Amino acid sequence: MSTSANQWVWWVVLVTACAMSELTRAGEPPSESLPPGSSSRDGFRWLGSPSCSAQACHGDLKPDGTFPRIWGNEHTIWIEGDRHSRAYEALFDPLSKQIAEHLKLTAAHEAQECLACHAPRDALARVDHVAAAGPLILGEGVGCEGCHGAAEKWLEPHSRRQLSAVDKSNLGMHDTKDILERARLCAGCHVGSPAAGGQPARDVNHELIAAGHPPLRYEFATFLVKMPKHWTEERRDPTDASRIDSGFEARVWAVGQIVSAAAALDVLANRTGVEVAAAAKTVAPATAHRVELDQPWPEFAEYDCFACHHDLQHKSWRREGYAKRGPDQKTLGFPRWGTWYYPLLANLLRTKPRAADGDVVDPLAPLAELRALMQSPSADRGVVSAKARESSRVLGSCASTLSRQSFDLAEVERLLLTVANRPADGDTDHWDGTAQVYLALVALRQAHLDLLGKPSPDDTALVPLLRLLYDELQFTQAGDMRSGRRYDSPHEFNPEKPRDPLREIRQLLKPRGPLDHER
Amino acid sequence: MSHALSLKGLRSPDFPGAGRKCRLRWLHCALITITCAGRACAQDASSGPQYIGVTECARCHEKAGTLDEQSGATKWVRLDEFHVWFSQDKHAQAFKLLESDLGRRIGELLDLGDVTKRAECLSCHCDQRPGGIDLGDFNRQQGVSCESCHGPGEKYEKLHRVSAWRKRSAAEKFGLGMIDVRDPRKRTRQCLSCHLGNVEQGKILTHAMFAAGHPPLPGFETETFAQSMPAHWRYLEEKDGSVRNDPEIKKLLGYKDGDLHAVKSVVIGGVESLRVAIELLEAQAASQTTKGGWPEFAQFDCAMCHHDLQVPSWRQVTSTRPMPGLPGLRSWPGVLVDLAIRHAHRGNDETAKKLAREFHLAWTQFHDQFTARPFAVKREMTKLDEARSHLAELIETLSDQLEEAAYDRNDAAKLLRDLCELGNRPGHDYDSARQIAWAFKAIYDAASRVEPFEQAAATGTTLGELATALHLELSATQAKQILAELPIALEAVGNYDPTRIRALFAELAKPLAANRKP
Repeated sequence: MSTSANQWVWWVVLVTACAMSELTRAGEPPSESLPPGSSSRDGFRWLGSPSCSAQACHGDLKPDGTFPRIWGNEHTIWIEGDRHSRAYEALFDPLSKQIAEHLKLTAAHEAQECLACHAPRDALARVDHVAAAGPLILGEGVGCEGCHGAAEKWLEPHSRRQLSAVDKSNLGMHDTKDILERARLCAGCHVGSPAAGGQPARDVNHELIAAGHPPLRYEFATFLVKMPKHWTEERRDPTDASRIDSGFEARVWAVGQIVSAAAALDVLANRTGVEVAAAAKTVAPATAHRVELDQPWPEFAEYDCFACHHDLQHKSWRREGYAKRGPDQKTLGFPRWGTWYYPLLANLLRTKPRAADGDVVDPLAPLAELRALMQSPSADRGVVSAKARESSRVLGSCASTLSRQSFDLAEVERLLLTVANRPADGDTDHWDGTAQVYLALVALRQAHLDLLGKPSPDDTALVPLLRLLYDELQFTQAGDMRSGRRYDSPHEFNPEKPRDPLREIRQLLKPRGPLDHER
Repeated sequence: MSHALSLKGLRSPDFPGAGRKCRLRWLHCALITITCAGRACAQDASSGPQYIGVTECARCHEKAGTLDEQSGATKWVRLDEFHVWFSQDKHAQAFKLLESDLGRRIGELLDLGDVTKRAECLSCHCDQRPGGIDLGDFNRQQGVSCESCHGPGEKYEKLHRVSAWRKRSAAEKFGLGMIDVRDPRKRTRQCLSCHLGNVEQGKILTHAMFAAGHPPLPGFETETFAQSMPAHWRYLEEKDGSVRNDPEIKKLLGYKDGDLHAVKSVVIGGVESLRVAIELLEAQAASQTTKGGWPEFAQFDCAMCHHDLQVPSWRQVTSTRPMPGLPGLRSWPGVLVDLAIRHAHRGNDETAKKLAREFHLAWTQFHDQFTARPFAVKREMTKLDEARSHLAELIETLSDQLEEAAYDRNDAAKLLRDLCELGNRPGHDYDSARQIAWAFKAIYDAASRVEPFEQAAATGTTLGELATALHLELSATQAKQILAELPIALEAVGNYDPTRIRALFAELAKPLAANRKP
């Protein structure tokens, strides 16, 4: 087929699909109202991964090479090496039993709040629980449809032709190739999401952590690298699909940062209990804060874990660090809010979107206001809820822009430098912030290498510095190990220590910083 | 609001100016208008007997002279009390801590300015009471001096110089401002007013103060703390025979032959500490919720949040709170109540068990008012009041029964066995385990002085291990400075291993069982 004929076919497909999508979208709730990770179309049935695992489809023992885009052994990789396939099984662990006991749940594997992440499926599947597919779907933990969407409508078509993004959207298949959508899907469980679309809230709150659940310290790029891949990353440049996106790793990191932050803000809104209470018509949102809501408040999971969770020390860096903080951080004796999801947003959001009237808006302004609110143990739930939603909306729109923005060499080098320089407000003098800096540098370094297309002359020097930073972040340090102690918190951490490797990293990056590039 | 509440159920705090008359005046005030606790406090400090300063005391109590020996005064009093306090006792340096680098730093971080001028600091670090008359720089610099513990001297200073003073009752003396520190209840209250807190006296440590660097308040076992002080006193049994054996004096001081004062002090102090803790909580919750400052984290158990995380952790196994993830109240102030119940009902196990259950339930109800979801809301004062008054009644009755109980060598042996059993129970935090160990050591030492126990060496070894693990050694002498001790003390909290401590208490029980007479 000639090139022009090929283009003609694509145009037809595209136009038809657009029209179709307009039709099917009419009268449906906007997809934003659904939590990420849940089925995008209510009522589509989950079929279970046995529908995918035929040897001829995705259950081969090794890649069969028949189709370039399909390995053929996706299901096998998932079941053999991917921990998502053990998510339900984990609910039978002694730890899960302990958690259920502390939270006064009958059993973790029966509690909706646990199943929401450990065996996600839509409302209909739950009704089908007794039906043949029900227990199977539960047992597979986070199975194929947990990420790719309920397969009822797309199972058959997707085996015959390549579905377009629009097709996928209509048929309930999540476009996991799209980094933004993928990030939102993952964040649905790995950050959490409010109750919506028949799903209970997914929330690892402080009660759950105290009962024994590991805290969610989620960073999209890192988790994606760690996941046993069952797909080929296409790395298409969003601005020009014919080009390879060499800045892909930076894009993944950036999108992950913003999407996670937005998801965390939605979780915060949910944690206030105001929306839920308003939905239940028990209180009007405006007066909700005056009513005693049963949700824990302050919700300690919103704050720096290690601000409180450290053995008391006589001479503490925490105290000295406090003196250097900005005025909005000055709440002595109260932990700092939002240390995990938000410290690097200021580095990332350089370009500020313009408001309708042409004014430059600071996308982080609502977040700063929220921070001021959250630095009090008796923050007004109603105000917090509204501000968190506003902040999430603004960041959500930034995420769309960012996912299509170019991550070229100049931008990646700018990011490397600014991240290594740590935010101007000094708000990374905690483990969370330093860990985020480290994870960002690792992702950005990879993007940098990819963009250069050859080993960087300074990369050899950079690796051991990153290693130093990594070592400083270890919970159990060599000294603790020797005395037979294992910690799950940064017992020996001191934010002064990473300053040296970070300074050296900056010196390495400086000669090829943005200024040099412009010259 | 707080003073109106404290009228019900709880015994009035025994410090001058808070006596019955004063209380009635407060009630009157409360009826007219709900005044804030601060105003009531100011009124109290300016209306009661006033502090006169340490120089007045030093005139007589620095050194006994020949005349004092001849007059027989030294048969009663040492008369070198001031000297011992001034040259050895850390209390004398309390004000100097405000002038230290740490004191200055705390002031900077809290934006307090000069901490040596701040009422909230002076209330514990010297005799200057909020709203009281200005004592002047010199008197303030003397730190926690005579009148801090013995009561303001304005009215008794002259009267107590004559021997007839000794024949006055404690109540009479109290009317003139003198606090009966011989009474374990009053002594415990007096110490804890600083060592735990007292809202009415303006002695309130906030979480912000701790965060700014104020050392944490450790658990407080009155007898152990008193023994760690350089003694500037003699107990009755240590006084001259003419005093010791005077039946009138013995009666006046409530002294019973065979009673060991240390044993009595531990048991009674262990109940009184809970009463103080409850009063403090209630007063602070009442004043702070109205100002929107609740929860005040300083009222909760520090180590419940402040611990490095470890999985698996004994904390996750032993949690007894309604929901995990919220801080709980300190448990050390009430950990010895069970011991006291058993002692008060010795020989009647059923009653003791029933009461212990009832107490546990009442405590849980009270506790849950502070730790239930959603946590940072205005507490329901009526519910809290109900829970508290029930608890207060139980404590009141128990406390009175304990006054009548015996505390001799045999009782001590029984108490020691009870303490081993208590220490071997699961669920104690560091401070509670420490409280039990302190109680054990104080009673064991007192009883051993009367008649040594068998296998004392074995007990000594186990006690030594407990002493290291729980950092039991205390010193209120000037030789040991808190900032030097703090790293060791805090490390012991971090390294606390409840399984090991339980095993040590089980070990302690073995030689005691061997001592038991058939």
